[in-house]
Amino acid sequence: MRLPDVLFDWLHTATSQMRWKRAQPVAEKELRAHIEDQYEAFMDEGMDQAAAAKATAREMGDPVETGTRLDRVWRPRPDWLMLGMVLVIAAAGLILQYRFRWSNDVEWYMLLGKYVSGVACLLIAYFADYTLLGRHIVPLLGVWFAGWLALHWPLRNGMPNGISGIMGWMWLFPVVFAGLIYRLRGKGTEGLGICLTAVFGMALCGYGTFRTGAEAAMMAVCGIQLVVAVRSGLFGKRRKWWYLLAALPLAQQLYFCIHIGWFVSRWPDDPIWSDYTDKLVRAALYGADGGAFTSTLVYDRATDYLLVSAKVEWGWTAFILILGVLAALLLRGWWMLRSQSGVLVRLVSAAVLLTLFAQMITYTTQNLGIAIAANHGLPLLSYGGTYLCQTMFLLGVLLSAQRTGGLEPGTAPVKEADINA
Amino acid sequence: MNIDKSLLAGNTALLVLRLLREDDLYGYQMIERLREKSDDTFSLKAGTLYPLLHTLETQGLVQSYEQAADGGRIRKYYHLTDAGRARLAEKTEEWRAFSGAVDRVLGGGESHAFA
Repeated sequence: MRLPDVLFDWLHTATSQMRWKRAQPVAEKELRAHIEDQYEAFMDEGMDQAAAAKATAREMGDPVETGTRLDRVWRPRPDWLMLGMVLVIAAAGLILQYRFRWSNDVEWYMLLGKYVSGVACLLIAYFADYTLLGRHIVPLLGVWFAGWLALHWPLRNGMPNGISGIMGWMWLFPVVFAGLIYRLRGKGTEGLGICLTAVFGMALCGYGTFRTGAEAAMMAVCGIQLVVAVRSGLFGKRRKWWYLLAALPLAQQLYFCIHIGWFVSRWPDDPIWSDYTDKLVRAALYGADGGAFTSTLVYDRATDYLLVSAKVEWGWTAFILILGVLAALLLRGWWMLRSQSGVLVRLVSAAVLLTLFAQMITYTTQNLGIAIAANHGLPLLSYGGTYLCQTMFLLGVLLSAQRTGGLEPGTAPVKEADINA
Repeated sequence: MNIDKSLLAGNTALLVLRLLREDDLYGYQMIERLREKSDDTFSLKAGTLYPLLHTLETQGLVQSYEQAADGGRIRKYYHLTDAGRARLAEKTEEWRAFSGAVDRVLGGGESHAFA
């Protein structure tokens, strides 16, 4: 409907009072709908267009006053507590890495440089528009795959940091996957099938690259995302057999755990096999001897086995305290997610939290001497460089979604009966 | 009768929450329904309503969603959350206590004022 000039001017005057530019189109859309309804009501009463337009403008009130009031309530909502927690925990992680560093060549300013890089990645994601994940998912998937290809080459050619670079990139997939689920909402079995294809495609990328538990953990994360999406009716009225499809990635993770458990239990007691490392870890944790762990795994104390190092140095309290701090961060993130009503913001936030939770679990099991290779760090704490940048980027996405998620309309409340087929 | 706006200002949220208890509504519907239920006593302006709705939403008392209205146009509906229902009950109780006290003072005031 084309509005008369007087009403168009009213709308423009009102919304131009709002300083947050991203909120202007949201407020304008709602006000415009109201103006159209009021204008049509006056026309239905018998007024001509000019009279109806003037009456509508009068009924709407003063546009400057309206816009000023809207400006006061439409503001970004940064979560300063979460931001502070992230920065403090990351700083604590670098202090721990310096404490357990394997060489005196690892200087404090090198670690500070990594921290600054991580903060830069966080800020880039924080000020970016998370809704890009919903609006441009196809090119973003292409970028993700192109990135994997580009990073795959250094890894295959034995270049330094090859594994950490590609691992960090792979762990961005669940967030991109959230955008894919959002894009395919309402598409039924076809949508679910495309999502599953993407997940198994990612698993092939991972399996072809490093064959560890990492891609299985990622599949578990994606599986949970799919099951929750089916449960919420995102793909449409749910069918019971959709749960079986959505749970396939989870089944793969379970198979992997059983397979590794059976396979590794038969490895010989040989330093070459990782089970030997797990035996060292268990001796350090549950036995009296942390010396063998400290002298043998000197390169990995600050990175792959930070929790064990903390236990050997300070006892179980330190082990639990470190995990407790991370758990508090994830709980805060969960609280942020619950306060949002938009579909995309909830999907993206859940993807970030599930990713960090999965990393925390697999890292902890590795540090408890259970034979599941993590090949990634403990979020924010155990690695600097590429891995810290990846984690900070993800947290930046979470904070960005929280800051601007109010712009996204929520979903209509549904009853269970309405979404069951 | 013209009502002093300040009497309405502090209770607009209560009225909006009460409207939403019955049904999910969009902004124009709320203004029309409020006018109808109050016999044209309350005529809320859009400039008052929409900032209030956004505030209530950030407080978690209402939740918005977009849906096609009658005629097929997309409108932004508002739904009362559980927290909103609890706040409505609390504010209703508060209003009843306040208005009851005012009624008692006004009702028994004249015979005692110049005693």
